[in-house]
Amino acid sequence: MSTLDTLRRDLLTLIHSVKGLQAIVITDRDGVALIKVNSELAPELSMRPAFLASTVVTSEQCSKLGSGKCKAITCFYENYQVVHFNKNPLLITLIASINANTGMIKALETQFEPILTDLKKVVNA
Amino acid sequence: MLKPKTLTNVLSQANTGGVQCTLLLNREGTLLAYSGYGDKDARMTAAIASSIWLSYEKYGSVAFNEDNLKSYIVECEACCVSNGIFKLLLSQEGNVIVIKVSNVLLCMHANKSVPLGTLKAKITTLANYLEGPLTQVATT
Repeated sequence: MSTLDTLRRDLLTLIHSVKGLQAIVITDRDGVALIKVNSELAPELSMRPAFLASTVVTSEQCSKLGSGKCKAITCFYENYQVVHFNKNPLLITLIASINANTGMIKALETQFEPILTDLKKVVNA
Repeated sequence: MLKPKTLTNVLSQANTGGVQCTLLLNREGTLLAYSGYGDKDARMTAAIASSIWLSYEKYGSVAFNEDNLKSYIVECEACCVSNGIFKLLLSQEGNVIVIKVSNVLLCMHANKSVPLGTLKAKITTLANYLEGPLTQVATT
């Protein structure tokens, strides 16, 4: 099994661990998806580069709010919620239904660390 | 007609238990009312908060099948510069929450000690209180 397959399997385990979590996308600073895992319910357009690139720009804007470096952003839409974790040079985007437990999604942050170690090496190389 | 003094008084009621400032701004980023303390540049915060809102609203609408943005929370961590001996704290960590009220935006800035749930509950309560009067102003 390749490293990518292992990462994908780990992310899929995380998706199944939180009810309502539909997709996890890890992108670089240009909004290019490095790894993408989703359930059938996830809206297809939310995983397209247009949305992902916009979130990278927005997270940079958030750092100018005067409260230090942006660590995480949570957006609540009518039917969905989106959580971004800023893990320079990577950005993790989690897409979930509005009924999903936001606290549980945010608690996943620490579980991304071992996954990101490998990806950061690739991006920094 | 909006009464600025009353509006500021209402906003100031939320500034307790770690909430540093509360702002009311329009979608273009212009400050309508402000209440708070500290040396925060309220005008700049308003401009950036509205810019982030417009971005998420525009791209989110396409990505989530015309879904409307209701609110967003930004969590920031302390920013430091160190030369090995001294450590200079450039900014404190804190959270910013923005919610839509009628056709304007309500923004709250709090320090890290305020739990996100409390912050959301506070801003939702304030937004519900202001919804009626602001809708009246918007329609006249």
